Amino acid sequence: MGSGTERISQIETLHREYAGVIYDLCLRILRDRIAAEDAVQETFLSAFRAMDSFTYGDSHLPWLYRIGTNVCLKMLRTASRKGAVPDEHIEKYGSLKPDPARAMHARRVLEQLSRQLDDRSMQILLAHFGGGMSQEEVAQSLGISRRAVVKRLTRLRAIAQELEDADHE
Amino acid sequence: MSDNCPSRFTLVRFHKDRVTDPEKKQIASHLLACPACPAVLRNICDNEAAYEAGMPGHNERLRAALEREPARVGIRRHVAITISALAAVALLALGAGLYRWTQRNDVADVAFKGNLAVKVTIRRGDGVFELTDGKAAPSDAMRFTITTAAPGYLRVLLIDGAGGVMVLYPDPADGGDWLFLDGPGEHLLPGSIVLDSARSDYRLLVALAKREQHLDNSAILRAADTGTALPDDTMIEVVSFTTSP
Repeated sequence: MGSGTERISQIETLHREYAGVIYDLCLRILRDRIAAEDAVQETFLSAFRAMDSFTYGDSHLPWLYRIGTNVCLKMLRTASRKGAVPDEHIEKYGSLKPDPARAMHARRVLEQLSRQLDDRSMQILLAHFGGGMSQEEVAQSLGISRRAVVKRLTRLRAIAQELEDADHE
Repeated sequence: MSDNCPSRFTLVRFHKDRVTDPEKKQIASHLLACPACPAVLRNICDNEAAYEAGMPGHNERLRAALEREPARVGIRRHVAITISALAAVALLALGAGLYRWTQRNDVADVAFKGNLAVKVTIRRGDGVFELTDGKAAPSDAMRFTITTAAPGYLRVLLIDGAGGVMVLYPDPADGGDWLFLDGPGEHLLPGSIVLDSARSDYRLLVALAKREQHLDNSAILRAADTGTALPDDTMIEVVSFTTSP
């Protein structure tokens, strides 16, 4: 691992390359433009702190997606505890067919779930619906079997459908 | 999108040119034929462009935050060095370690009663003192001493004022969910922690379990917030403090 300056330069390069698509991920989960920008910043700060654990040869993109998903999960939990995000901040951005009411509903559902579900279930849900990963890609990203992903998503089928509808109807 | 469509994440990889050549050809020809996927790709590009429109400001903000970080990185290194030095001693004590391993299985069988106490020691300049008034300064180096009545498995979380959760022990770089404390008495945890320079309220949550178990950080937080019991009489101790320059 390089010096502090080299590490900062590496993260800035990653930020220039990938921040836009990490923003896409965060926006789709948080449905709030300002919170998504904060989440992107926090993702790259967390990546900076975790650079020692990054295995070279791995692709940076899934690694950053994993970190971004965890950052968003943390923010959802914080918001659900504090009731911090006013409705008017929740926007249409990030959805294919903008519908502020549905976006707001999806956000509220995720906040509520973040209080009730364990970390792994939330990571799967957010990677699948926020990150738009296939079941196989979620399994690879989290280092678990596809069967485990399918099992959890099946258990959360009704919720999953609701989130899907919020994005595509 | 149909089942034959690439996932959104695959389209992101395609957009960032992080796909193999055969994948690239396949996705490109799919995009020509599919009525739905070009819209998804456009949506990804639009969101990316929205963030990149403010890029100079984002870069500046990130740079400022990164420049505040090296102190923490240095601390992690300090922990690593300390652990490396201890590792040599640990090798010499391998025989004793094997004995302890046999004892670990018995931990669950012993009565897990008694107190869990946490002492926070602060080094500030040349002085060392105990945190008793809940006030710390940003450049303080903190060390933690855990006193327990029985062996157990430890996790220490630091919650900042914004609700951010950081696992202090076990060191995330070492992997694992728990740090094993091999007997009753005082345990000085390795390394020291220096907090960010920002003014903030912090809570230190110390959880001690009698056996290794799956326990989310959120469950520990919930238990600390609401007083709900954790499985297997897992104990929690909370230390609150504020940093201000």
